[in-house]
Amino acid sequence: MRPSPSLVAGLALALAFAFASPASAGSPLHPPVVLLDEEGAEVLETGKPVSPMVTCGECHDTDYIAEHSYHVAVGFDERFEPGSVAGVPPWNTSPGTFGRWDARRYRRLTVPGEAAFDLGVADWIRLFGDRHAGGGPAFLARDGGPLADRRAGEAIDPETHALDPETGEPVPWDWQASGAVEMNCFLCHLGRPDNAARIDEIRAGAFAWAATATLGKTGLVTRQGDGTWAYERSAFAEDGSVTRERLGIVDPRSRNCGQCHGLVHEGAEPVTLTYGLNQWETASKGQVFSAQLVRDSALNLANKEGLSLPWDVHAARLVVCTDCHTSLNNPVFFSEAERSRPSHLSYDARRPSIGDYLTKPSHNFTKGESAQGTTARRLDGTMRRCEDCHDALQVHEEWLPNPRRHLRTMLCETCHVPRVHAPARQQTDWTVLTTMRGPRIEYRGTDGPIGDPATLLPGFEPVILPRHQKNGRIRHGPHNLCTCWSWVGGEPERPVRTRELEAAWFVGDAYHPDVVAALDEDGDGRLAREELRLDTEAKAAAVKARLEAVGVKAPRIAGWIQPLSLHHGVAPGAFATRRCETCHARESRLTRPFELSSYVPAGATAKLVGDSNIRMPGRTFTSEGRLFYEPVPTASGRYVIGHDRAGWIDLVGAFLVIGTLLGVLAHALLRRHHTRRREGAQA
Amino acid sequence: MKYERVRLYEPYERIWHWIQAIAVLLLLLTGLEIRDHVRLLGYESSVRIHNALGFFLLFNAFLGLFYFLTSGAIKQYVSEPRDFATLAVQQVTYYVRGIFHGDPHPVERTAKARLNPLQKTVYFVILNLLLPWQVFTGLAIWGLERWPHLEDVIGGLPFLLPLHALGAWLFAAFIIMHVYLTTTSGRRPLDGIRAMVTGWEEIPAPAEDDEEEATS
Repeated sequence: MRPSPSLVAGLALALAFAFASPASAGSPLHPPVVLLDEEGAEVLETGKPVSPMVTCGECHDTDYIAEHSYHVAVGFDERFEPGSVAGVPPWNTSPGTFGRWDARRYRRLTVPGEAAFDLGVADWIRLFGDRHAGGGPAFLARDGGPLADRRAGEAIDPETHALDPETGEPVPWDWQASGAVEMNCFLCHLGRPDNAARIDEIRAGAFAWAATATLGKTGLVTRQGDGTWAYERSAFAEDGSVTRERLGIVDPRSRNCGQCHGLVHEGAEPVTLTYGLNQWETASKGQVFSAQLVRDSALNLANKEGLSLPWDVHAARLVVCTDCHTSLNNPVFFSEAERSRPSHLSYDARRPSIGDYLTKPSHNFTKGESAQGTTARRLDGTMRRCEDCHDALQVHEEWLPNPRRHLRTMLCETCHVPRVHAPARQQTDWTVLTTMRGPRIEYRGTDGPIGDPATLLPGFEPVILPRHQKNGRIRHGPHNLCTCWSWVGGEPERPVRTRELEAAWFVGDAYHPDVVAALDEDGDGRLAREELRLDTEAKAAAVKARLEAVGVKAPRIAGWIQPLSLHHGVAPGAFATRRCETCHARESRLTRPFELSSYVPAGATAKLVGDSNIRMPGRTFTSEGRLFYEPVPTASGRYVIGHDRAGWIDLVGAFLVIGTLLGVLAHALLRRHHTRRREGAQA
Repeated sequence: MKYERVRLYEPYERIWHWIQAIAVLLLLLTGLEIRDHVRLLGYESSVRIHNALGFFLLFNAFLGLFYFLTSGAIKQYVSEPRDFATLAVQQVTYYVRGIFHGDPHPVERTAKARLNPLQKTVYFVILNLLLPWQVFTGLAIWGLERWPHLEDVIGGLPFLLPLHALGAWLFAAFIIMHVYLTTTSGRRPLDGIRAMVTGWEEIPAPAEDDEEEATS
């Protein structure tokens, strides 16, 4: 008889409590593991790729986990018909990475039946798989069957076809050869996952080996000369199992999350930045999760000596990602928030047992309500917020006037993320192509070329924007605004594919002469980076003509503004905004213009993406060719004392006071004049 | 014209008056800083002082009301319908013409009736409309911190703060007018202000047949 998973998990727990040393590294609870392939056979025997779903599924309900994980689904379970959701581009097919177009990656998942083929599912995995935990759309077809069983038919289908990089035409994808990408438990549950090797396998289209490659640093597998992976028999126990120490099983650590989400820095080495999308949120928002003092980083920061604050105070206090982003059914962390708890219930004692949880741990993690967290919006607000752990009133009441009102209308981050010290992306311009055949990217928070060690990095003040919460309240918080410019065209209208962009811009490895003629301002026959901008009608028309020449119908330039909420990079109290006049003054930082783009493509306008919970009350304007956004808090019902005023009342008031003054002055002078005249007459 | 020295203001009335005056001036000053018209004490200090002074002024207003009611001094502020219009017109005429010709005040002042009809009207408006207006809007602004649901009932800051500011402007205009008109009430320009300090002022002596009504 096969023991039930919960019994195994429960026994493991009991044994672990009995014998484990609290100080031992890794998870003290985990028994040895037998690595199995997708057939359930030991990989040592078969040499096939490890199947985390089967291996971990021996004790844990991996099907349940995969079905309860928005990291796996990335929008796969929230798909919609293109054009059916108001406010989002008509080529979006889900709110997650699998179907939501993002200018940072640009490439677009092809809608089934669409003539303009861009990314097939296999292409999507190869491009987006570096930031995907596997499973979901990387493992299952639209109809729920395994992708690995799919075979290409006559019709071109993004599920069975991929774009041939040579011809730019869709060609059948051999799922039987590539396999699919299973949900990769190792990526988050190993202390030292080999993420680079995993990504290499995904990029190479060897999807089935992605999980095996993740074990690359455990000594259990080695890459062969032909690129395949072999198992090291000596690293396994005699019974074919692997100890938890060898595997390095741990509770997910912040650096596991950082593999996809951004720079999580541990250790004493000075912080450095790559500005690449492998540090996704760092490149996008400038946020670094590290306990290191900012001044100790390797970055050329302005006023560096004074920055004796950690990159993130929570990191400095040893808080890890999973302390806040917990599993929804983790009995240790579960405590229903007051805002969602029925008013008659002060404490809900019901929770799963440890055994039940270990068998079926939901991998839907608690979420905040960030602007960019479009996936699984149903879980927005499930995470404990600052005020759920900190008694903010206790420390703010001493000095902050109207603390309740501040906390009610402002997110704590507004003052506690007063400045972002690392540069962050400001604009992504796909209307032009660099010699690397990518977009022109501009960062904010830098005084020069990004990546140049000599460039001074002053950092930037985030813009404060109103967030419309699920509970109906509006709270203001800090954001970065990332503007994207792109050509769209065709019927139905879609972002112009990179293949067509390249065809329009390049002849071989050189820029097309028509493009050079239009953009080469200094006449040196080359296009310097600064010349890559379509800021005049003539330049835009030249590129438009080139796009039309390569077959793009009715191309036009469109712009989007993506708000990115800043919830990390939290400063300790001493470095938080404390001066009231920062906001409560005529020059309030709440209304300070925020640069959206260092130039504006001719005839283009940028609009806020429609699927965020952020609004941008105020106005956009151009100054010296730059595009700015100026927030107006009153437009969202906020009145900032010291800054806002009803103009007509001040006008009436000033008229009254000045009129009274002039009136009494005139009266007094007349009195004096008449008095003197009378006195003169009497004399 | 004969003048006599009379005690117009009781000590409590004078103390009450100056306390209110200082409070209102400081409220205006801190209010200006809160609205970033001036920089003096810092926003935070100004808010705290403004809030504290607001409550103090309210408290003092209640003390004053109690005093004026119990002492009967409230009668000073109550206009009598009889001849009110005529006297008011005379007072206006005096301010626009008579005062320049050295005419005597049209309304005789006594210790028991020291206010002219215009003063009564203005003080009635100030004490019964403008002060409650400021107190109500100020309390509401302060109360939103503790009872946010009030926002739905009485409006939020975008509604209340402009109203409060309007009241402040009116108070400022009143103070200018009030101080100036005080200079017109006595024999010499500063007599009125001095009277509010010492309590005593020289006022025209009543005619012989009214002598028994005069207070020495």
